[in-house]
Amino acid sequence: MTSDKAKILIVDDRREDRVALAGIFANTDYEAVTATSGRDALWQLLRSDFAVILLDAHMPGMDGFELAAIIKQRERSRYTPILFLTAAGADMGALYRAYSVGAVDFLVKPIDPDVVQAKVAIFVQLFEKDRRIHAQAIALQAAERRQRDIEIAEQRLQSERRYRNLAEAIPEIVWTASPDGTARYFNQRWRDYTGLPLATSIDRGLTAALHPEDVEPTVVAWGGAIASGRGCQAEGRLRRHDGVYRWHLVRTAPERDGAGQLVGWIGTCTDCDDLKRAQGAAEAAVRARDDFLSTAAHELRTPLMALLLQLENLRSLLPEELGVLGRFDKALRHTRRMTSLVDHLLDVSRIMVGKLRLEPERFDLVEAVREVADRLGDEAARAGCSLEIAGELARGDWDRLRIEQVVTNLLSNAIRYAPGRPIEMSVAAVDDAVLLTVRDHGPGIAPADQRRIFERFERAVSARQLGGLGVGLYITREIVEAHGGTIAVTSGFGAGATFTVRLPNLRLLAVA
Amino acid sequence: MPMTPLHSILVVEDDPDIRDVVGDVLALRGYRVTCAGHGLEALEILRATAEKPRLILLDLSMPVMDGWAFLAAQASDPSIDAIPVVVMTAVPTLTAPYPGTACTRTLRKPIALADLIHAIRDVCP
Repeated sequence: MTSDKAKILIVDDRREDRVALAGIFANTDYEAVTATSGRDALWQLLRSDFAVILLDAHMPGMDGFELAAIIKQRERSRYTPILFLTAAGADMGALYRAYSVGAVDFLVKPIDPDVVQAKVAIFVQLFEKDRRIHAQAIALQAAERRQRDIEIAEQRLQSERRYRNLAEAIPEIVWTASPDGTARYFNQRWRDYTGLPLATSIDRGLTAALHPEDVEPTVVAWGGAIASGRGCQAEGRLRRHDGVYRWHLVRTAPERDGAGQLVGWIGTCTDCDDLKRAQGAAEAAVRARDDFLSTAAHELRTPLMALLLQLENLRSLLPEELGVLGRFDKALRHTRRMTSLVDHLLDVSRIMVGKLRLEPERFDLVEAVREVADRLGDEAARAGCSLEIAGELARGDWDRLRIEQVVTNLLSNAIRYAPGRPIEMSVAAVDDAVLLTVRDHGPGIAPADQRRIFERFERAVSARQLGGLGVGLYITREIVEAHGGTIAVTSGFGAGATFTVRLPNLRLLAVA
Repeated sequence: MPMTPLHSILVVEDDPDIRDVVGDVLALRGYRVTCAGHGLEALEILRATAEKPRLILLDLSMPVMDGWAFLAAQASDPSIDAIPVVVMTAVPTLTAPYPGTACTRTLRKPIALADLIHAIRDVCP
């Protein structure tokens, strides 16, 4: 709407008619716009809205009927009333045609100014009324929009207030920051904890209370979060108002609007000082226990060695006819068993601190298995187990003492868990590795226990049923893995167990 | 069991129980045994006696002067550098000989009686 005055459009090819018509409206409070042709009229209709169009029916080129049809097709001018101007004596067909293309009325030339003025005045009134209604509608819409904006702003304020209230109510430090990381708000809990004025906190952010040593890691984590738009988590000590530093878990989460745009950050600081202290104490306790275990094993070893040597010494002095040699051998066996338990403890503590070192040398695994079987021969015989060893020469580079320990552990386990049944051992070369299997015919190991038995202090049966520390297979696995090998068990419940050790050896020499 | 004194042996070991039992085992088998609690004491004994022992049994980890320091000191003293040394150690990776020292053998702790006697007869028959 460019001008307040209502406009009417006069379309006539004849200049004298245009002037005469425009003259009629010279003293009205609306503006008469003239067009000389259909094309000119369409151009005017593009620029302005008109209250009414006075259209000469007969024009060269595009005539009034054609123009009317186009005007009615256009969205902007569809409802603009058209008054046709026809010459006197025009046939009825032309009139019907005028109505059919959308004329609301017609005027016969020569035109009576009063009639034209009266008719046009009606359409102008209608147009103005329309315009007022339209303006009112727009004003109403604007008013509604203003009201809505006020309501939205009010809601936003309320939600912000609720959010702040929530932040103030929870016993945790809560803060917010703008997308670039600048602090915007700290809750009362922060102010109470740090004793810092809000202005200082806003100015310096978390670093206002962070321990100097924790500033850098926190800033790095925070910088990463800002750069990636993802939240972060860091631990840092925050200074309490009385100067005491307490560990806090600092978490930040991005705050996004409906479109996913980052609008800020919400952060919390949770006091985890007690937890941290407890954790530290627990770790120290575990360390102390491991240290104690290691020291105890070392300290027990020396007197045990003295005892063993003294017992052997005494035994060498005893005359056979005294008849106590058997009992002496038992005492020796007990002492050796104790020594072996202490050695196990020592191995476990070595493994725990990563001190299990290997000293590889070339030897034949079958020979080593036979040697261990010889050493445990008496024990196996007492338990009623026959030992069968199958295998060809399988030389490789491994730590001989440690591998013998593996064989000893597996074989003595088989004797212990499957007494009275045969035990089969085999050594076979496969590709670039050697497979050692130890098979018993005891009760077997339940599937649930098969993984567990290789862990520290675990065993398939309760400690009361069978002695030992429950570390044998753990040590065995560690030794095998230190050699780059694997150990596995297959067992059907009630069908015995087969332990398979795979020892890799690139320099393997397998000779028949 | 031979009752006339055989050779003399110096036992260098910081643990009194081990020292005692090793000494006892050797004495029972006719050896003359002298004991030292650490390397420095061993050196003092060696330098103070005109008649040097035929063999030294040496522990490695000891206070004051450990086995390694003793071996080094012994190697630089021509009056005692020829006495053979058998090292007693619990560390399996430390097997003799140690070049540049008088150590020719190692005995792995815990020491078995048979191994001890065998090692000694081997070095000083």
